[in-house]
Amino acid sequence: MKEPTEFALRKFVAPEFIFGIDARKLTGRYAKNFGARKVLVVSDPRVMAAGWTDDVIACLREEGVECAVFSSITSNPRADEVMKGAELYQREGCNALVAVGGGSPMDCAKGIGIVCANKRDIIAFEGVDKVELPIPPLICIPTTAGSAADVSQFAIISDVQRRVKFAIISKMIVPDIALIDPVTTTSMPAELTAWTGMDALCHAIEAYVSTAHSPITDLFALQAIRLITSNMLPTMVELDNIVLRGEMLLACLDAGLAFSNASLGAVHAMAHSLGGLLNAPHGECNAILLPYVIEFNFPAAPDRYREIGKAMGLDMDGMASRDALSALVAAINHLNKQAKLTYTLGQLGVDRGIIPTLAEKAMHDPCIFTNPRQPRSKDIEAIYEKAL
Amino acid sequence: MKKPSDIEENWESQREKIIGLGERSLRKTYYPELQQKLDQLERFRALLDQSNDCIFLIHVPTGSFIDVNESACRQLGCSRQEVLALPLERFFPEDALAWAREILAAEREQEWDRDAITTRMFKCSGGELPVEINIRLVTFRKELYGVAVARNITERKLAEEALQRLNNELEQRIAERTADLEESRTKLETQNKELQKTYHELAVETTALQRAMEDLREKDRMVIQQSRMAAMGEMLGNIAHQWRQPFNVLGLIVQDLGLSYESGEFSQELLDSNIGKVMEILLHLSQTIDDFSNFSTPDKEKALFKVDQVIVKTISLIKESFKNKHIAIDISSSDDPQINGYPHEYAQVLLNILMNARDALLESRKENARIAVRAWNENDRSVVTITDNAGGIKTDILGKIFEPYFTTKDLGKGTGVGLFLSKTIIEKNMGGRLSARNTGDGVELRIEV
Ligand SMILES: Nc1ncnc2c1ncn2[C@@H]1O[C@H](COP(=O)(O)OP(=O)(O)O)[C@@H](O)[C@H]1O
Ligand SMILES: [Fe+2]
Ligand SMILES: [Mg+2]
Repeated sequence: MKEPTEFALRKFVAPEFIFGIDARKLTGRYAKNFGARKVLVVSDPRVMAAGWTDDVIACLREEGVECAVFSSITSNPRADEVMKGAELYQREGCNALVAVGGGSPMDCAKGIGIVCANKRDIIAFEGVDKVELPIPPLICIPTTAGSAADVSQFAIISDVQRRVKFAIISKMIVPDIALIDPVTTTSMPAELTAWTGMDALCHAIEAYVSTAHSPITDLFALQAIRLITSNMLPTMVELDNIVLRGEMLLACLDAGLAFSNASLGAVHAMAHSLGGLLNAPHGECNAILLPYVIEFNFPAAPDRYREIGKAMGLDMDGMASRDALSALVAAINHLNKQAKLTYTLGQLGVDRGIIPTLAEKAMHDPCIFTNPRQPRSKDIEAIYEKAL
Repeated sequence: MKKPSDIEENWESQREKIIGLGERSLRKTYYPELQQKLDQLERFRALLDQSNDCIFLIHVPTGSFIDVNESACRQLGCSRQEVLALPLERFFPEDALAWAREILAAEREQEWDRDAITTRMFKCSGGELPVEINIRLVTFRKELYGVAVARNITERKLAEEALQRLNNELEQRIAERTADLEESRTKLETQNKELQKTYHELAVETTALQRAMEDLREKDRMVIQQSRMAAMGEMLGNIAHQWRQPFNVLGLIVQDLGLSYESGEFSQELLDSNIGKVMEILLHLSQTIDDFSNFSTPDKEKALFKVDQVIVKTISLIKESFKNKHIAIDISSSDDPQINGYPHEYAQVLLNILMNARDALLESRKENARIAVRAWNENDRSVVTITDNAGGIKTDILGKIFEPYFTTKDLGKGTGVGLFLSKTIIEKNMGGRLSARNTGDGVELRIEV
């Protein structure tokens, strides 16, 4: 029997999206339908080099939509890069945004949209529901299967001065359309495939155990976990297998729909803190932290973690709690190992001395508020220490 | 695991917001903004409609009205639909249309504003509306539009008529004023007469001034005379030199007569011979006095004289004293130049120049001091140059030597008027030219008459 708490109020927001091979080619049509006269195409050097940006620009031009390109962004978009992009948007007289790339260009495009519509520095929008005015039409074409920024209400921006990544969470920044095309993910090397895959797995797991989860988000989360466990390693072997890429991108989309609405937990809060300080790959930070956070959280949601184990193909029926936990952690460690994600935080350059600072910052990240177990600073410190 | 309640609360409220139950948790919608923009637009529309000007928006490619303000409809007496449905020709006369078409023919926006034209518009109700019209091209979303603003100038027309009336009145007033002016003119004439009287007084004053100037000239003459006296003093020295030798000779002759008597050698022959010698000497002395007195008497009238003669005479006066100071004088002459002028004054000029040369030569302690005097004719004029080898005049004072009272000599030795007077004599009195220039080793004074 379900508890009445299962029917507490929940909202589900998802953008319109088109999933499938060559979805990116619809960019021009959508831009035109949104009334775009000139779009700012936000991308990054690696995606440019892979050719996806030009592909999209060609589609836009074909429909008579003018383009300006902003691609000078680093792997974690910085606040000053967002401001520069906004300046370019205004200067070029753009009236719509197209993001082509992974989490960085998409988050940057969201940031640019926020600044252009609200005319204030991007730093001012940190937190939940701080964006007042709607951003210009935003079309996202993801080229990685990880961040799911193309369907989420999240934007993660680096504040170089404070050395933190901060989260902007607002329904105002959900893209108007996501054109999710597995073809664009075929250019990802094995390493990046692993990082982004583990990011997506974290999204799914954290969304599933989140205190803001709902029956709808649960469906997406569990499906994502299933798809990632069975497809991530094969994809790393067959990088241009479009079916495997499609499965992984679908998993990423599922996870995105789940976490965008159910939010995340301590893994992401702690990874954002790490990323701000080290500029380390987001997926890698997540992969390292996930097992330790599960160990900490498990007592608060043992049944949910068992469901996760089941979705990963583990047989945990009748297993003692302690054993179920160790089976789940072992499965994740195994996945990490197979994907060659074997580093420790120490190897990434984390020093014991900065752990209190990292923990302090993690305690203020909005992702922490939906963690199944409410941690104290010293709990977070302990997790970081284990992961050293 | 108890927490302070405010952290709990914050935690809970943040979670609520993330779930999407916050007050500001809204899906992106442009409608509120759109509504705001529409309101703005409506407000702007109302503003345009309120304007007294008729505003028309013309779509350039099709050459038809696509929008018109309320004021235009009201003043033309048609509905908006009517205006938009009718062609431009329905509202404007041919000349205004041609003007408008020319502006609208431009391919793009123009930098400058065309001048407005004054024309009229045809009302739907049949009447006419006098307007001043202005068209400006605007590009909007790559399409070219013409914004025509027609201002109703009925009232201005009335004002212009009123102005015309005022003008007429003004003309009337001007006529009246002309009469007044005639009166003023008479007054002016009287004033003019007074002015003439003043002019006469001025003329009297001028005469007085002229007299004063003559006085000044008189003074000039006196200066010349004084200088002449000074020169005479100088001359006395020369005469003294010239006379010492003959006096010595006279003494010797007289003594010779006495001695020969005592020795018994006295004879009639010796007496006659000595008397002859004495007479010759006395004649020479008397001649010198003549020369001297001639020289010091100012010329009364112009006379034709031979330059060579004046030169020889002047030099004869100073020859002896110059020889004593070991100053050689060369004279060379050709063409026998003649001058119609004042020979004594001319001689005085020569003397002045020669004295200056002497002073300069003595000052410079030159070994073979020499003065060259040359005379010839050049272009119908006589030219005399007096050149010395005393070293010349420094260029910074060369321009000043003809100024009155300019001197480089010690007090008592120089007066500084010598060259000034010489220049006056040659240039003012005889219409010639006196100039000075440095040669390699001295000065050349050039007199042209
Ligand atoms: N032959 C000359 N050589 C050098 N200097 C001369 C000569 N003649 C005139 N001067 C200069 O011109 C000045 C003006 O001469 P002048 O008017 O005769 O006045 P003064 O002889 O009384 O000084 C002289 O003081 C002298 O400096
Ligand atoms: Fe993530
Ligand atoms: Mg002198």
